[in-house]
Amino acid sequence: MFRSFRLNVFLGVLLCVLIFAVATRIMVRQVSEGPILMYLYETLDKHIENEIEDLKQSPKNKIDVASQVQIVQYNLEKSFVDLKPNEIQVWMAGGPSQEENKLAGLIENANWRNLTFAIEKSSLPLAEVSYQGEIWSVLRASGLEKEMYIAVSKNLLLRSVSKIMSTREAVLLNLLPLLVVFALVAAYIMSYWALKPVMYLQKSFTKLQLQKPDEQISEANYFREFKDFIRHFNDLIDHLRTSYKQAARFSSDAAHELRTPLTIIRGHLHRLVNESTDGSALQLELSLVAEEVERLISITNKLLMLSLADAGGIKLDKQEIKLLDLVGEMVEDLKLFNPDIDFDFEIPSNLRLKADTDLFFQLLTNLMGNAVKYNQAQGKVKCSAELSNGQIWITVANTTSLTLEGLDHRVFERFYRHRQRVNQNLSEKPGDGLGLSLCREIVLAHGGQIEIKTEPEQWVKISSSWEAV
Amino acid sequence: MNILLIEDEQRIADFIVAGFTDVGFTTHWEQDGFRGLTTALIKSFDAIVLDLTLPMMDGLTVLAEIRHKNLSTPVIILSARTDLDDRLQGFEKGADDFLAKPFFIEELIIRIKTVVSRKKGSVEKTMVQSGLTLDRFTRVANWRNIKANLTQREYLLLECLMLSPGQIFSRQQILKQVWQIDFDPGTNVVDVCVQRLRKKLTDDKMPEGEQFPIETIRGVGYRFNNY
Repeated sequence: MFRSFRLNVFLGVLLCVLIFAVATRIMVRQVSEGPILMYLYETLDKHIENEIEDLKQSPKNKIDVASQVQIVQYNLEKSFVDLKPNEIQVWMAGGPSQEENKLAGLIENANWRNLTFAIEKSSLPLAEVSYQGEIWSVLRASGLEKEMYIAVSKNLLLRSVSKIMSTREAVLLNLLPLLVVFALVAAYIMSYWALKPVMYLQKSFTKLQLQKPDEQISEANYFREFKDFIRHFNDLIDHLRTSYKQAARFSSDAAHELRTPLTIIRGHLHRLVNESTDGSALQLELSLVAEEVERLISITNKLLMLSLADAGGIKLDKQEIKLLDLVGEMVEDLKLFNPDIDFDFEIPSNLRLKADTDLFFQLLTNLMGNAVKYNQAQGKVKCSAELSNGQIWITVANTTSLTLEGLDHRVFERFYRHRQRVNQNLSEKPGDGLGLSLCREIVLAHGGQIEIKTEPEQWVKISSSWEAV
Repeated sequence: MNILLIEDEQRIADFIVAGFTDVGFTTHWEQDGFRGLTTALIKSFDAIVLDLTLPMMDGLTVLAEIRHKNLSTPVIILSARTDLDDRLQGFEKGADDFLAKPFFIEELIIRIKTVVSRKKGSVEKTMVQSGLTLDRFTRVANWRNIKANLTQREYLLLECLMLSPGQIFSRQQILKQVWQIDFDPGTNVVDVCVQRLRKKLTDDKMPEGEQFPIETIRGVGYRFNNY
């Protein structure tokens, strides 16, 4: 499953979205603490300002310093929900509360700094002091006769920050299903979008045919990043085409050039066989050489045909062939040649196919020849044909003396020979390893398919598809 | 029979001329297309054997010129080029037959005889050779007053041997020409067929010294003796 590039891209994008979500959560917590604290200080500042304003407007000498401190403390404590005892402490400079307060003694040596608030454009003096392992933020408010100090426990402030963050996360949690759906959709769209040019490229690769001389993939249809890749690919295809043409041409030229000397050798050999004394050792030897020359001619012809196929140059003279007549005649001949083999054919009499007669005959001869050549003693050969989806499938099946292991698509490769026999005592009849590859080229040139199958009890079947009339 | 051979490859021409001489043909050999055409136009021949790849003027042009001058002499093309296009072009330009290299000289001779007879409209109803008569229409063979109906294969085998008397045909050659198969079936079907022919056309009453014209050349093949 993980071999799917598309799935990998999808999972990659999904993972990125998840990492982004987790990182955002952690970072927002870290980064948000400072601004939220500032917001809390600003709120406190606003409260303190309001309290001082209220105290200022109250009739003078009616509220003493201690009461003022108490009022401010009471009102400030009201603004926090989860306040613990003594987390807010207020005292007035020089007042009795200062003398009682342990924190008041620490602010003398504290570092004071001004907090500046952007919205109200006000500032607030602040010092942080540590008392019994706890940190306190001490704010100094002026406006009354004497300066007022408000100490707030940092724990209280951090609890408030946490509460605000928790509220935000609760909102996010409610949105989670939506976010997951969004992440999935985004990952799908991203993977589709990322793969679109690759898929398009793949389509273009599939359409590309080596036999068409000038066909290339156009760079203009792709993103800049693909251009180098396409250029290299096109260069590679050009090189391949050149080698392909050279190879095909070499075989073709070689085969052509071989035909003239072969004609001469065959002619003279034949003449020598005729002229030598009948039954002499010389005549026998010459006839053996003549047999080898025939073999060479047969290989040369096959190589020429294969090189033509490589260059896409097999020309077809398609004609209607009545299958039953052709196979029937061939089987009758083969029965004569091989009386020990049981021949059978099952071909509907109305079956007609369209193919080049010479090439089709050559294919059938090759297949039947192999069926006989590699058969068992008292073996069987069965030729059948059936019409399926507008195509005729012809099957030549036979029992074989070869081991079934290794009898696969490789038999259609050039010069591949499967030599393993079940009974090693059987004599080896040499083949040239080209017959079946030629059969494949003949079938492909007709736009058909060819396949080999093995079945229990030493059966091997070669089926090919043909255009029905 | 008088044959014009237009072939640039001397070694091929040599063995064709030798093969023709053996069967009593007179051969006039020209080495290039231009001379071949000139000779074809000024002299009379029973048939022309024409190679396609020739110096001075290629074989197809020679053929086109011959037909352009209304010369109807049968032409057999010999070529190493065996593509469908080449064959079709040859026939379009007016060739009577096409033989791919490498070829058997006996096959060339048979084809020459066939095209010449066809052109003359005188396809012989019966072939007579060394006292054996073969009726081409009824497929009845007659030797020393013994008549026999032949099967298609027996007829083709006998015709093939009779058309080139005195020439040895290997089993492989016979399989290719009579059965049209290009592989060794590993059996003695040719021998069986020849024996059948012999059996059909001979009996115990044959006079002594009388030999059936198809002779077996041990280990090599068969020959139709030319008495």
